[in-house]
Amino acid sequence: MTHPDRLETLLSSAMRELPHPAPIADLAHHVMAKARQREANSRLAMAKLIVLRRWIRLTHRLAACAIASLVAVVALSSPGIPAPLPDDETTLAQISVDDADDLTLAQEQIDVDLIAGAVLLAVILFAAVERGMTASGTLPLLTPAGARA
Amino acid sequence: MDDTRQEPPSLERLRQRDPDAFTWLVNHHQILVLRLGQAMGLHGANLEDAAADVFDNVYRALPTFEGRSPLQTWLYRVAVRTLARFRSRQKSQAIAELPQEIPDHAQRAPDERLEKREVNERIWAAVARLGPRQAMAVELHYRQGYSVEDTAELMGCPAGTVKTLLFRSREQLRMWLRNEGLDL
Repeated sequence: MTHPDRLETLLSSAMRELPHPAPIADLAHHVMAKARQREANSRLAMAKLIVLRRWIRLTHRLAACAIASLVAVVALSSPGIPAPLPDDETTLAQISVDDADDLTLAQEQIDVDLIAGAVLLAVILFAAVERGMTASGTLPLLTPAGARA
Repeated sequence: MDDTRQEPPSLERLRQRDPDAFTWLVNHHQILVLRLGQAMGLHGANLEDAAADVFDNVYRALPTFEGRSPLQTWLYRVAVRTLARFRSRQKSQAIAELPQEIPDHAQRAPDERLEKREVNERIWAAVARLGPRQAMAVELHYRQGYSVEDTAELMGCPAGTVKTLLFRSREQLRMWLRNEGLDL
């Protein structure tokens, strides 16, 4: 058998006798000061994050440029297609002047092609790095959005 | 100047977190928040920290307050959530600490006063173990004397829900207090 009235009476009486807490002085001031401090910290953290992201983008691009330059240098410094050697039975003296001119022209053409190929390869590599950075959420430098960021 | 006697600020000023409006809000409601925290078993420095947390959350949330419910109801909701979180972090210390002084109303005999004090302390400790919404219902109804309907309005729920909360609170308290040997 329960006696709800007794419990309610005791509960009501006890709750009313719970001492009233004293108000906290300057609570609003403290809360606002804390909020201002938090907002300032948040702005500082955001600024640090932006600087960090720019540093990461810069180092990515420097790495991309270094790789592209290395590839270009390697391509340029590698020997071109060797000119056809005279047969064992022939001598240099036997090669006509016209033939020598043709060989020189052919060698120069090969060098130009190598330079163009190296530059093209460097551009492709750089574009690939930029594309990879776009896919990974890092804005590329060459697009307007990347330039603005 | 006593801010609690000023006119309530406009909703727009509150949403813009106008310093005067926020000061009014804190001064006008902090006792209610402190009492609620106390009913939930928080005392001393814990209670002050919890109240500061409540108004900190209120300050952050003010720009999103749309005024669809009364300000006090909205504030109570924020308070209950914040105090419940705070209490769960501080539970062990909070329940152990209880106020040492109670008002002495009586011309009661010393034994009777002592017994009354012990009963009160057991009841306060038991109320502090209730869930946050149950503790809030008990605080508003039994301590502050609001009717079930007014309590429901402040809690932003139907009167039936408040009756259920109070009923379950009483059943829970009855069980705990009986286990401690209190005659109910």
